[in-house]
Amino acid sequence: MQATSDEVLIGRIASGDRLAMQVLFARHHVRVYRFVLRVVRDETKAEDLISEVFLDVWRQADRFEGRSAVSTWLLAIARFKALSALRRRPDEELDEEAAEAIEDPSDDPEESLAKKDKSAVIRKCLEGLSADHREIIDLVYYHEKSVEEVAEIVGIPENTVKTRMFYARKKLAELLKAAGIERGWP
Amino acid sequence: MTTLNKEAPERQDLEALLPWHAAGTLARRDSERVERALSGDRDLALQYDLVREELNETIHLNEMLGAPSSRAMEKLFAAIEAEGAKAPVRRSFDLGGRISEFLSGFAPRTQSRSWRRLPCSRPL
Repeated sequence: MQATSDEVLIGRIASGDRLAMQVLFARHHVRVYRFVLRVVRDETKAEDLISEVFLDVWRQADRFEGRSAVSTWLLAIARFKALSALRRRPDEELDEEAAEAIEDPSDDPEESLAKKDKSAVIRKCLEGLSADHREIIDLVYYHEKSVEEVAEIVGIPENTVKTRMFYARKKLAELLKAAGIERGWP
Repeated sequence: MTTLNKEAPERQDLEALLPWHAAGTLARRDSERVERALSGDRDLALQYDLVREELNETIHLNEMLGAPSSRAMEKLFAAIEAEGAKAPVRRSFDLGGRISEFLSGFAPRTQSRSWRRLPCSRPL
């Protein structure tokens, strides 16, 4: 049996169908939560924000024109809300988190190598990327978004999407090199 | 300056597309182009292995983030409930409604307004 498409669900939601809303929520809320959590770094805040994202869908479903995938629309709303929430935070809170985020995975390469766990080092280096670089890597690899969809979500030209992804990967390679993993690229 | 600038444009383009090829989100034509290049370019194939490694770890990292509690869903549906009977506007493409809306622009009152603006409608 084929699952109801997201677009059909949106049409039903536009007609006030709460069951369709539940199905859409069940289908997408974990990915949207993870996307938001990566930005706000606060689980409670991320939960609040995904409620707001889906409430917007409930209210605006009649305006969805189907020019992009529903998941792309959701991530675009989520990104806007997460960045708005970040801007509302007190500066002191942001400073503390920024300091934590700045932690350089190359600080202790010996320890990293001692673990002999290349996967763990790669993950640590991924976490050490800037917000922009980590975002694009998440959108491409985890959220499986095409060049066009990333451009729509982030609000940048398609060529910039490719270039940003290239530099994100290049930076990752540099962090890995500093952590003792030479990959032979770039 | 960068690898992007040092190589031929076609090679650069293929290299840039590798992440999307690994994620399976390339258009068929581009995907076939990348596949052909991978079969004849050992360096590109090695880089593709790195891309797949990054992809796997990115997925792993995201899955480690866990899932939201039921609070998120409860909050959402409480908010929807609070909006009460105010159901969202029916979105379906209502051709009849749109035609009716369009035609309403030609209602007698509107027409008479327009006519009043025409020079010929002025009293002679």
